[in-house]
Amino acid sequence: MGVKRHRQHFRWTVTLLALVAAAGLVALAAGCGSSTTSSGSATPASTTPQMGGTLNVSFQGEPTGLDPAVAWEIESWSIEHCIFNQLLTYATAPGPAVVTPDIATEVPTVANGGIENGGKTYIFHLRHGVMFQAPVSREVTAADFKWSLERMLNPKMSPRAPAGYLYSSIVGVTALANGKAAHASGIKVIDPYTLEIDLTQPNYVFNDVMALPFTAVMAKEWVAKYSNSAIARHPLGTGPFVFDHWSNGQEIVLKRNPNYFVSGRPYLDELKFELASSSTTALLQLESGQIDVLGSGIPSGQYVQVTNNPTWKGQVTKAPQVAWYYVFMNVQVKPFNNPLVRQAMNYAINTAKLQKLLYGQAEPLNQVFPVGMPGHVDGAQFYSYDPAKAKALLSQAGYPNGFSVTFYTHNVDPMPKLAQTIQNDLSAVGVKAQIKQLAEAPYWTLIERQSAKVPIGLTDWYMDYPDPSDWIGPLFSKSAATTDGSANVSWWWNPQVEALYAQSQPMEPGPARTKLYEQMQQIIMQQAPIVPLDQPILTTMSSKSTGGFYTSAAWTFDFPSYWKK
Amino acid sequence: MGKYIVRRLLWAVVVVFCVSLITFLLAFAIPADPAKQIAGPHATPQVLAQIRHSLSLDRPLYYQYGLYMWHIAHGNLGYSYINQLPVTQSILQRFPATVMIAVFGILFELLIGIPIGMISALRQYSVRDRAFTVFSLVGVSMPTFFLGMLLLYFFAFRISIFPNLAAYSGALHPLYFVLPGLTLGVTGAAWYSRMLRSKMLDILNADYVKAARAKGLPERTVIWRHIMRNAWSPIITLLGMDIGWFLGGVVIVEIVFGIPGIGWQAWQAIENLDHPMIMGTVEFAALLVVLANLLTDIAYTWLDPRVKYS
Repeated sequence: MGVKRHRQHFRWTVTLLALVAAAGLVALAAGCGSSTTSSGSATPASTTPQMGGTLNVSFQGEPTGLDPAVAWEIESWSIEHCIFNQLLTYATAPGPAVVTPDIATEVPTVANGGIENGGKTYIFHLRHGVMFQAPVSREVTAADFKWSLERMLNPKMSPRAPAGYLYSSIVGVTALANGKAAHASGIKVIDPYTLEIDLTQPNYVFNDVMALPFTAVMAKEWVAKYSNSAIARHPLGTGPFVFDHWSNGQEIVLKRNPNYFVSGRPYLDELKFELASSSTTALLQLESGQIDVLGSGIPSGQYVQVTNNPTWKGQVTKAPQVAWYYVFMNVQVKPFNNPLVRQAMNYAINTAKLQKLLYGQAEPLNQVFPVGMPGHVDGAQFYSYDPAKAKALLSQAGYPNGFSVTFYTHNVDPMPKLAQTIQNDLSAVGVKAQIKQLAEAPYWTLIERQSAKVPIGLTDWYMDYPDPSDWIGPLFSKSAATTDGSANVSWWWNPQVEALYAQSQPMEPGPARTKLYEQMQQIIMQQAPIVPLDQPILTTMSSKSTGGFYTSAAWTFDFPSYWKK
Repeated sequence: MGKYIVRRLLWAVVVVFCVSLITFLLAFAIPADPAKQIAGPHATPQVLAQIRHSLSLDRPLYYQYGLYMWHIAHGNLGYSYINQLPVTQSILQRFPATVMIAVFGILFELLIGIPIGMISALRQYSVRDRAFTVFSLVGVSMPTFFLGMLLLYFFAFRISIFPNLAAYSGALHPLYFVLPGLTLGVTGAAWYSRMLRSKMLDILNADYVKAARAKGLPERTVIWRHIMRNAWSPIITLLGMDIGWFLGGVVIVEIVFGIPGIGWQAWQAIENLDHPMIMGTVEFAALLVVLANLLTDIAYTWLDPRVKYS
C-alpha cells in the first residue's frame, strides 16, 4: 500500500465518522429548546389558595383500577379520593385520622341520635343537591348508597371486592355474600335522604369503616354500561374532579368538576398523574420543575442528600404511617414455644439504630400500637436493648450456648436490610441466624401456612382504619391464629386477650375502650410472640409551587385540597 | 426456497408451543398464590377462594393448560390478573415503543460498531485500534442501567437537549428514542466491532484479497467489494439475534427512560404473578425471535450465493 492510498483510507474513515457526528448534530439542533428548566425560584409565600393550574404528580406504580369497591393501594385511594365521595370521610387536615361527614350531613353519634339501639342501628342523613358528574348528572339519593354498598358486598357483582369482611356485621350481608339473597335487608332506604343500616351486633367503630373508599357512591346506570373490569377504567362519581383519560402505563388525567357540591372547590383545574415513573427520575423531574409531588416518596438513596440540600429541605414532608414492621416468632415451633426465648429476642434486638439504617424513614417502635393508633402509649417501653439480659434469659430457658435458626424475609426494601441487622444483633447473644430470602409473593404464601412451620421472620401490617381492633383481630386473635391464610403468623392467641377483646367490641370509642386495648398490649408484649421494630415514615417532597401540601393519615395525599401557586 | 420458508414457519409453531408449555410449568412451579397478589394482604380466605375459582386456578394443571391453549387457538391470550385488560391488546399497544427502541438501538450499534470494527481491522495494532479495544472493553463491561442513567442525567437534565420522559405522551417521536438507542448502541457496538474486526483480520490474509490487490484494484474497492462482502456474516448473525432480543423488550432501558414497552410490562407481570401476561409476552417474544432467525437465514442467501436452502 502506497502513502497515497493510506491517506485515502484516512480521509474516507474520517468522512464516515464525520457523517455520524453530523447526524448527531442534526438531532441536537432539532431537539434544542424543547424543554425548559425552571430553577426552584422563590415565589412569595402565599397561603391563600389560588384557583386554576395543573398539578403534576408522579407515581412509581400504577393503580390496578379505579373501582372503589375493589382497589386497595395508595395510588388508587388517593386518586379515587378525587373522583368519589362516601357518606363519611376523614378530615382533610394534618394529624390523626378523624371521621367527618362527606355526603352525610353529620357523623352519627349516640348524642345526635345517629346511633340507636345500643350501637346496632346507624342512621345517615344525606345532603340535598349532590349531583353525579356528567353525563349522568342527577341527584344522589339514599337508594344510590344502598345500591353501591350491595354491589360492593355481592360477589356476583364484584367478584374481586376484598373488603367485604369489614361490613359483615350488617344484617343480611352474609346471605347476600352466599348468593341466598339479592339484597342486604339491613340496609334500608327510609326516604330519599335518609339511610338506615342495621347491624347484627353492637359496633361502635362502624363509622370508621363507613369512611373507607369501599363505600363510595356510584351511579347504577353508569356501571350498567360497563363490564366489571371496564368500570375500573371509567370511574364516575360525585367528587371534585372528573375522570378525563387513562393512558395505560403512562398517565391518568382528571379535570375540575364544575358542579361539585362544595362551592369554591377544588382549586386546581387539572390533575395529571405520571404513572410507572421511577422515583429517582421523578426526583430529577421535581427539581427541574416538571413534577410537583413525589407520589412514591424520595428514593432512599437520595434521602440524605435531599434533606441536607438548602434549596429543597424545606419541601420535604414526613408522614408517619399508621403501620409497623416487626419480627414474628412461631409459637408452635421450638425454641419459640418458650416465652423466655421470645423475651430474650426482644432484649437482643436494637431498634434505636433502625432510624439511621433506614435513612430516617422509620421511627423505632417498642410497642404493638404505632403512633396514630389509639392504644399507643407515648413513651412506653416494655423491653430495652440489653444483650446481657437476653443471654441470661436464654440460659434460663435451657439454651446457654444459643441455638441455630433460619430467619425468613422477603426481598423488597427495607426487609433485607432489617434482616441483616437483626442477624447481627442475634449473633451477639449466641443465636446463629441463617437468612432465607424469598420473593415477595411466595413469601406471604409460605409464612401464612401453619404447616410450613416457619420459625421466625419479618412481616409488616398497615392499618385499614384507625381503630385498634384492626390490629388485634387480624394479628392476635384466636380465630386468626387457627386459620391458614391469616396474618397472625405467630399462630399465637391468649384467653385473656380474647376476653378483653370481646369486652371492648360493644363499647363506644373513648378512653374506657382504649384502656382495654392498652391492657391487651401489655399482655401481648409480656408474652412476646413478636418483636416490634419500627413504624415507617413516608418521606416525600412537593415543589415550591404546590400550595397547601400536607400528608393525610387516611389517604396519604389529599389532592383536592392542594393548589398551584 | 419457498418450501424452506414454509417448513421453517411450521417449525416456528412447534417452537412457540414448546415455549408456552415450559413457561406455563415454570409459572405454576412458583410456590406463590396469584389470588393473594390480586386481593392484597388483608383478604379473607373466602375472597381468595372466590378469586381462585373465577380464574380456574383451583382446577388441575392439565385442565388449565388445555383451557389456555383452547383460548389461544381462538386468538385470545387471556386477561391480565391484575388490571383485567386483554393481554393481546396490552401487548400490541405497548409494542410500538419497544420497536422504536429496537430500531434506534440497532441503528446506533451499526453506526458505531461497524466503522470501529473496520478501522480496528485495517489499522491493526495502531493507536486507533488500541483505543477502540479499550472502548470495546468498557462497552461490554458497562452495565446498561448505569450508562442509561448517565446519558439521561447529562443530556436530558443537565443540558436539556433531549426531551424528558414526563412529556412522553405516547407519540412515537424519534427524539425520545435517541438516548435509549444510544444506551443499547454503545454496549452492543462493542460486540459488533470485535466480531467484525476478527473476521476481517481473517479475510485480510486470504488469497483472493492478495489477488485483488495484485490486480491493482483501488484499496476502497478491495475493502468493500471483496473484504466486507465476506465479513458480513457474523454481523448478520448478531443482528438477527439482536432483533429478536430487543423486540422482546429490553426491560432496563425501558425503566430507566420511562418508556412503556412490553419489557417493562413483562417485568411487572412477573412481580405480580400475572400468569396470562407473562405467558402472553413470552410467547409473543418467542414468535418474534423465531421470525427474526428466519429472516437472518434468508438474508444469508442474498449475501452469500454459496448458501442454498432446499
